[in-house]
Amino acid sequence: MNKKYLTFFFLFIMGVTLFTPCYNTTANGNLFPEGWKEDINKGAEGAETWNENLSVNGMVKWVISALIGGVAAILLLITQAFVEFSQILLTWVTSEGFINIKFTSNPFVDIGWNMMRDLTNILIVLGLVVIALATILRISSYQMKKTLPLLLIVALLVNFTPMLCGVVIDASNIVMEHFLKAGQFLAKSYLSAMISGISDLWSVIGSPSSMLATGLLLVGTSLFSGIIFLLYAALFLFRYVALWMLVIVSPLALFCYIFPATKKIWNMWLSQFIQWCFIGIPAAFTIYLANEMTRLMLDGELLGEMSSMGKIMGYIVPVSFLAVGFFASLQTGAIGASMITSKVRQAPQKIGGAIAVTTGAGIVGAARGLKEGEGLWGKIKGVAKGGFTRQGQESGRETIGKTLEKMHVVRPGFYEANKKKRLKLAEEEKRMKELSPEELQRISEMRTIFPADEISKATAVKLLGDSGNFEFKGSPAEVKEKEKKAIDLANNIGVDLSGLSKSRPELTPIINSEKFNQQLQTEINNFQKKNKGIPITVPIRAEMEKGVRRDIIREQVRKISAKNFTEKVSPDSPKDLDVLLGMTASQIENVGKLGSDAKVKTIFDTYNTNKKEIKKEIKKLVKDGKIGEANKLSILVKKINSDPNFI
Amino acid sequence: MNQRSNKKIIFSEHASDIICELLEKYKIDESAEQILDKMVEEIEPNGRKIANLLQEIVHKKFSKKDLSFELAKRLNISAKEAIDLSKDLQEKILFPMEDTSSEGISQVKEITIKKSKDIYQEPID
Repeated sequence: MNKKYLTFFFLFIMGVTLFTPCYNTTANGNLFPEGWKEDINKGAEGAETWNENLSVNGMVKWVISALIGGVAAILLLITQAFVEFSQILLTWVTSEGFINIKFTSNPFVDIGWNMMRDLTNILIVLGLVVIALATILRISSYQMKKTLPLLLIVALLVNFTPMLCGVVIDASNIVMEHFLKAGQFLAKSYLSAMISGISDLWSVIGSPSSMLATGLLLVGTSLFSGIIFLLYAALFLFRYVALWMLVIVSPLALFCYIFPATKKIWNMWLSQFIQWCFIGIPAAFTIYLANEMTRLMLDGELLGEMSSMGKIMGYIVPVSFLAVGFFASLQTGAIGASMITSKVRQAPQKIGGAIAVTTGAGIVGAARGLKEGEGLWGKIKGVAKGGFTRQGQESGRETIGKTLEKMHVVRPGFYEANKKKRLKLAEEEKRMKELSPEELQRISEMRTIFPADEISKATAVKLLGDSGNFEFKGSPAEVKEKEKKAIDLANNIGVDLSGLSKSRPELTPIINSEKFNQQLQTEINNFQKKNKGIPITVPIRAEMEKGVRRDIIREQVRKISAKNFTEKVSPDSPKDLDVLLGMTASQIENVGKLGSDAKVKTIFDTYNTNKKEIKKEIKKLVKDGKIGEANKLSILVKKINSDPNFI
Repeated sequence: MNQRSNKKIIFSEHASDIICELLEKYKIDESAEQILDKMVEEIEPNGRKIANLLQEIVHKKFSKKDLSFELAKRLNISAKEAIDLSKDLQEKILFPMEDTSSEGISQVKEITIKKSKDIYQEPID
């Protein structure tokens, strides 16, 4: 997320939380904790309670509660709007005035049905011709003779299919509408009933944990209710469409009844028709029952005296009842309904899973942000970034995934595989593979708005890295910043940047920042062990960072074969001294013989301009006891020095 | 001779190793630190002097005959050592380069001959 948006969001949350507590406490009649007057009157004992409430601990708890309350209020507002939308949709779909046209006779059913009837008539004529020819040629069988009366009956009935279908549809509609009319209260009033039942939950600021529990429960209930209402609305809407389609194809389905080979098509049509007609009855019946349940609850007859939290739990009961009824209705096996079934069965899992994972990832991300942030402001920023940004949540997901892998709860590689699947990276890569390097450059520099843009940008970075075209234009500082931003984004998305590490080994510390940080931490720990009491100053830390960077680049350069170094590494990479210092003798030989003029020149220039630094490095390696590395570097110096290909 | 571009002539990848061996043989080799020290003082190290000399020969700045003279002058070695070193350099670096180039030319000719054959000609048998 952009810093600007993050700051705005943070300020917004702060603003909301500043007002929310005032609203809540004044709703209670006072600005101070409940019973403050009594506490004061109690004297010393009361003063203790009063002091505790006004203590730093109390204030911190109060601020956290208010913060949670603020976030929950925003989420509740969104989810209640969703419930309201679902309710309106359900009321509209189940109302008499939803669609004023008949199931069996309306302009578009007429057009479709007429075409199907004409087609069926042609087929009937063809059938008659076949039977006539068979009879004339005396090749007719008993089966064929048996078909003729059926053909004649069907020829007659195809003209009446809308009427026949209409009888069954009307029969189901009469029963369904009876229940829906009686159950309209639910669709219209569930939300307002629920809101009135829960309003007192918000009147007092409780402890952070109780605020969190209340918030989660309210948001969850609203979301769950909204989904269930929406599913019912979809079911009744699809019923209309399915029945129209079945009426349109009814002449052809009836024709299929004639021949044994096509009879199963007729059976399928009949089964679907009956199921779609009657699917609405159990659904409407459940709405009717849930409606009665809500009514009893509002009258106080169902739940009796209980806490506000208990009331909320009570409101889940009719919705759960609706959910069970919905799935029972889908058991009829209607084709479209089974499609909804599969999606719907996955939906709560997916939505629930997504919410759980996002929330969990957000919390873990926030915790990580809190841990990694430096200073109070840094920690606040860390929590905000970790909890609310995509990057932070991804980091949280990674922590959860990797922990589960370590615990052997899931198989190794679960997180990476899941991430790739979730973001559809392979599809994106396949799609963008044909783009020119210029086009990929443009994508890699574009400003992202939607998550899909970020995935495209990350994929462009990967493809540019693989092809050795990861280059930006601008001043060195600008280029450095652009490179870092692009790599960070690609890393957050989870794109494999091993190709970029091969073509631009000097970027490996940024690409593999986790490794860099780990090694740096090890260096810091070693320093602190050796030099107890000596603080790590900025120059010392800079020196450590330089050493770790050099080690990581050296390791990466040595992984590249001599041939690949000559062919795939960017000609500008050896401008970085650390790349040159990591080169092997065979890489030098290969580049000298087969490398481009630009690469040869870059290596020779870097060697010539950094002679003091190279000498210093050899001495440092000897001092650190890394004799083998010092020897390798000496050989490298001799190689470049005496290679006539380097001029 | 292999050519990377129109201007530059490519030596064998073993050229630097051969030069290092010869420097050791004639006891004019230098450690990496000595090389770097010389470079800091803007003095050409011995290995670089030989490498540059070879480049100058292939670019026809002077003939192979003058190589021993140039070596004695630049490396500050005796005339006998310079002649021997010159022989070694020609034998191990310059001659193989010419052989490779002549092989390369013959290969090119062969391919040209093969290509010029009438591929649509019916076989006699």
